[in-house]
This record gives sequence, C-alpha cells and structure tokens, in this order.
Amino acid sequence: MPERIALNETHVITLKRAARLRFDKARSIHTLLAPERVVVLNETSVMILEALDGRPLGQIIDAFAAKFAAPRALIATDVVTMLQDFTDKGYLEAK
Amino acid sequence: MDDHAPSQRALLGAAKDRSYGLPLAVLAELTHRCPLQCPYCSNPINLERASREMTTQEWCNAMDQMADLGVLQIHFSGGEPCIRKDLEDLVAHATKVGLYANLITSGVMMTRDRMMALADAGLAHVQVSIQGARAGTSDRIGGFKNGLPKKLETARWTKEAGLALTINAVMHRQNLDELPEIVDLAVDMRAERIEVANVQYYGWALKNRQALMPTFEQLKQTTAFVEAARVRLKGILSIDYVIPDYYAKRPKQCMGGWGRQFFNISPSGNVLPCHAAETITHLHFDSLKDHSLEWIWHNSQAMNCYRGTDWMPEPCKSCAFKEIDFGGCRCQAFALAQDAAATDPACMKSAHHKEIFETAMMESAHGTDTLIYRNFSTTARDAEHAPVGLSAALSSQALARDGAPEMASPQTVKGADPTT
Repeated sequence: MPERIALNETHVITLKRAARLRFDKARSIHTLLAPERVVVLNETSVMILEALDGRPLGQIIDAFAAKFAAPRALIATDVVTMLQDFTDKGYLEAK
Repeated sequence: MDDHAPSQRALLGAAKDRSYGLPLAVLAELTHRCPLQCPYCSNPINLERASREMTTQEWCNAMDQMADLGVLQIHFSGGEPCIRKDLEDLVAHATKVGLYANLITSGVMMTRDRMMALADAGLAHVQVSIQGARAGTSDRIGGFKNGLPKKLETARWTKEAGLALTINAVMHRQNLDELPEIVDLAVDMRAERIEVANVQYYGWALKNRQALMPTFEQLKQTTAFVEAARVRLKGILSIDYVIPDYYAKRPKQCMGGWGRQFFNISPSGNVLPCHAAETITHLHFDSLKDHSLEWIWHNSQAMNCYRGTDWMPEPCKSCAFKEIDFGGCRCQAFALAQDAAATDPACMKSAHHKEIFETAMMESAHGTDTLIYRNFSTTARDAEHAPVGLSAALSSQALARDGAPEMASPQTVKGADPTT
C-alpha cells in the first residue's frame, strides 16, 4: 500500500511527468496542467515550482531566505505548505 | 491561488462584453466504434459510422485551431480511441501545439509497446474504465468477455510509462456494492485518482434507467463510504464523486455552464456544447468541415442557445444560484420536462423535482435487471424508439419524500470542469 508523503527539508522534489508548467498565451497566465485540472499559478508559485531543480528542499528554502532577506522560518512555512498541498494532489514526486 | 474568483476569471479569459470566455478543454470523440457495449454509454443513440470519421489531417487541423483559441487540455475519447491507428500521431500533434493530452480508454485493446509509444508522443494522463471489480460483473456490464485482466494490465503499463492514472468507475445499481473492491483495485494499481461517477441519465443510460438507477439506500451507503475513503486515502488516492442527480436537491453545474469553457467534437467533426447535446432535437450543430472552430465557438446556434443567464425562465432567472449552477443540465430538462429551457428537474425548485425523485425510488426498487447493450445494431433497431417517459414509468403509488438526502449535487460531470 502506498503511503502519503509528509515533506521534510531533505526531500528532493520534482514535477511528475503528468504535471506540466505552461504559460497560457491566450489568457496571459501561468498554469500547471494536471489530470482534469488547470491550476492558475501566481508569481510566487511559479517561482517555487521553477526552483525544483534537484536540490534538497532545505537548500531551496535557504536560497529564498537569502534572496528576499526574510526570516527563514516564514519562508519555510510558505514553501512547504504549498509543496505539500501539490504533493497531496499528486502533482509532485518527493525522494 | 486556485479556487478563487480571480483565477476563475483569468481562466475564462478577458471577456467583459460576453457571458463566456475561452474554452479550456475539449472532449475529442475520435470514433464511436468500441469493443465494449456498456448500457450507459455517453455516445449518442445514433452512433456515427467509421466512414464519417475525420481523417488524421482533419483532426490535426482541429488541434491547431484549438491551441490558437486557448484550449489547454484535450481528452482523446470515443468509443474506444485505441481503434484509431493514428492515435500516436494525434497525441504527438497535440503535444506539438501545446495541448495537455489525456486518453480515456476501456483498456482492452492496449499493448505495452503502444503505451510506451504514446508516452513518447507526449501523453500525460490515462483514464481506464472499470465496469466492476469482479470478472463476472465486468463481463456482463461491458458486454465483453475477459476484459478485466486486460484493463488492469493497461493500468500497470500506464504507471510503468510514468504517466498519471485515473480509474473511471461508472457506478449504478448493478455494481455499486463492489465499490470498496474497485477502490482497493485503484490503490493496488497506484492510480492517483478515481472517478466514482454515478451514471447520468441521457441517451443509452436513459434507455437503461430502470436497470441502472441505484436505490436510495445504496446511495447513502456509497456516500458514507466515499467520505470515509477520502479521509483514509488522503495523499494516496484522490476521489471525485458524482451522485445520480435524481436524488439531489440542487442541479449539477453541467459542463461548467453551457458553452462557457468546454466543447465536444464528434467523430465526424460536429462541435457540441456537451456530449449529450444532440438529444435536444431543435439545436443546429455546426461542423469543422464547414466552419472554423473560432467561428463555431462564438457564433454557432447550439453554442449560443443556453449560454449565460439571459435565456433563463423563472424560477432560474431570479435564483441566487443562477451563476453557480447555470440552471443545471439542458439535456435533462429536455428529456424529463420536454423543454430544454426549463429548470433542470434535478433542482428542488423544479415542478418535476418530486416526480423524478419518486421515479428513481420506484425504478430502483421495481425496475428490470435486463440491460439493453450499446452497439450499432441496437442503434439501427431502436432508432425510432423514444426514451422512457416519466409518466410511463410512474405508478399511482405515491412514495413519501421523507429522508431526501442532504447532499451536494455533483459540481462536475466527467471532463466537464477541469479547473480546481
């Protein structure tokens, strides 16, 4: 039986083959296309998804905290909340 | 980020002067040919013959136009889309023009090599239908022998190819008791999603309503099961649930609103607001053989007939939900109230609401278990046969309305609402 993945900062997260980022020219919006779903992404979500480049999650959070000069804990909460939601919805893989 | 009004507006595109925007998704019925004969098939009673099907080039032209118009997802369906020898080419073309490609299949004609070729062509998602968890039920409902092992193999190949897998479980009185086993199968197959979709009664399903309508008790048990399974399987299997709307209090938001974000293309190239729209006999449908897709989307009589809210009579016109459910389903209004502009009888504000609830209660308790199978010979034999009328199905025995379910009606029908 498969189990739900609870993300932690050691996870390397990638988009599944069936989840595809696409800029929709007709509407001028960023979307994540997934089975039976079109998710409209805001700029923050696009930035987080585009940062999934093979680094462990902790390093990605470090980079955001440095870039935005914001409290790391605050950034970590936002990033993990969004990625956990997308993982639960089946858009992401975590190893 | 999703679910909210601004993103809904963004998805529909900037259209301040219109009640509708740009289409999000297309159901492409590549063929009406199918080895299965499911008695609730969503294809029209008058199936289109192979000789009328669009060619590879015509479908590719259609996909070019879809991409230009703003369509984001294409659902390759049928009949059985694997019957088309050019399926790989069509998927490759969809990928090339940026359409997210989904395959809706019975799974009985797939090979491993073909699945890998489809994945290489850019296919993202496969939906495999399941008629029952047990071989006997599967064979009987599908009218096809030994289909279940083939379906499960197709499901395995889908995951092996790295694609998303949805199990489409079409549910009715004859198989609802197998739902827990079907959900177990979906988990075993490592599907991400299952659609537990009770039959909606149009076309073939309306012909077979007496045999398919679940009992009220079955529906209550199913709803309780689904609610518990959603909690138990969070993050493992996501469950979309559609109830039979005869037992609902409010109508479904059919197709996300008529001609608002979705259309269907028939094998011969007719563009329809939904797959059942041909049941409404006074509509005129335009074909891609005669007009551009963009022209049809904005100008077709069938597309414009029930768009927005201006066409609505009372009680819809002054209803607070009119821009939530868009008046429910026009095909159902036509089938059950003989008027496609009438309030959907699934709505408790419809004069027919009590009648259809009682019909469902009675037919589920006393209806036949004999199935009329969907195939080309039934089409020919029954071409003149009118659907089962409400009055004919009702006995003088009045059933109490006590215990009407307090449950939401389905917000989506299959393929209808791809937005989250």
